[in-house]
Amino acid sequence: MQKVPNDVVIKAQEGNMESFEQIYRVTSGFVYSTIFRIIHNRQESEDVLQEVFLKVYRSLSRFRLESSFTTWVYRIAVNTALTFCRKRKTGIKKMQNYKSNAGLNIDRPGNEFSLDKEAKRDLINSLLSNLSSSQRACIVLREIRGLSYKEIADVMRTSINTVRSRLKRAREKLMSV
Amino acid sequence: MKCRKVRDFLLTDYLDGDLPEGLKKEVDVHLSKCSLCREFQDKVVKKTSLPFRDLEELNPEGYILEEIKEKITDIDNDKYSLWTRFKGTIFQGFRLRKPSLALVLSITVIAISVVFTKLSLDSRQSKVNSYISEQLDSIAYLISSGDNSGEEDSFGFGTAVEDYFM
Repeated sequence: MQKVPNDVVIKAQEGNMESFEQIYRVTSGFVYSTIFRIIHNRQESEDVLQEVFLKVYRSLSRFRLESSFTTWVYRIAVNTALTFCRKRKTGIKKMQNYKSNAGLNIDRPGNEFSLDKEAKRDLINSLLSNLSSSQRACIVLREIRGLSYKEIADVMRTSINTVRSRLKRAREKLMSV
Repeated sequence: MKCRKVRDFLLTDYLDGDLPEGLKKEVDVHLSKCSLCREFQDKVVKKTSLPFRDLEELNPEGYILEEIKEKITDIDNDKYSLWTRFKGTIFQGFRLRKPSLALVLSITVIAISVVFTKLSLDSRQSKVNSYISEQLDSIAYLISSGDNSGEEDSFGFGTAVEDYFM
């Protein structure tokens, strides 16, 4: 994953709009993917994405260069997405059980690799919809974004043990689906 | 190592490559001997890890950056207005954490109490001082009046009542 150079961050902190746009271009892909996997709705994910980058803009002056900029942006993105999920209250609409659809039957050997993009996206959404928002965030950050336990704990402002516990419960639920 | 412990690791650190070397070897030894745990491991990988591999990166629509830039312009225009700066200063105070806010309020209440109490005491003290001063003047007057020898009415206080009855 491409990192944002420190000099770009410094210029953006000084109010340079081009540098802020560069930050957006480097980070918006992984931020949007993460938000979408947590929220599962394209329009809402776009709204949350806007909110995230406005928060990034407002908080840039408070960011300390000794910290990881990527972790900082992840933290804003995940916490904003989780807050959105909590406020939404209605929760993610559970997708149709993927096992009932032969085309998505993951138990058929090799099937998980033969799915087209759309079907795979539906499968992932279906799997993740069985999890709570915080479990979903942990699975997304671990399995899709490849963050370590420590990085996930930093992003979600929690302990490594809590991350471990959430991952365990999330995986147990996924296995029972 | 027991199956239950191994399965815990298979769902967490072992699957994620975070298990210390010593523990990893113990799990490997157990897996080499326990077919049930091996089946469990296969199921964990198939159901919780494989589906998430090689996912496409999702990208936001191009117009979103333009909308963000417009909102940033609004923010920048807004932050220079007097009313916004005034509001920011006031609301900044209320963004204090509760313990700090409670401490500030307590100190304010105590300070106001002390000031009012002092003012009240000063006010009463000045009245007392004034009364004492008046009485001393009266006594001084009486003493000086008593020095006028031969005057039969030297014991009087010179009040209207005395004049009436005497």
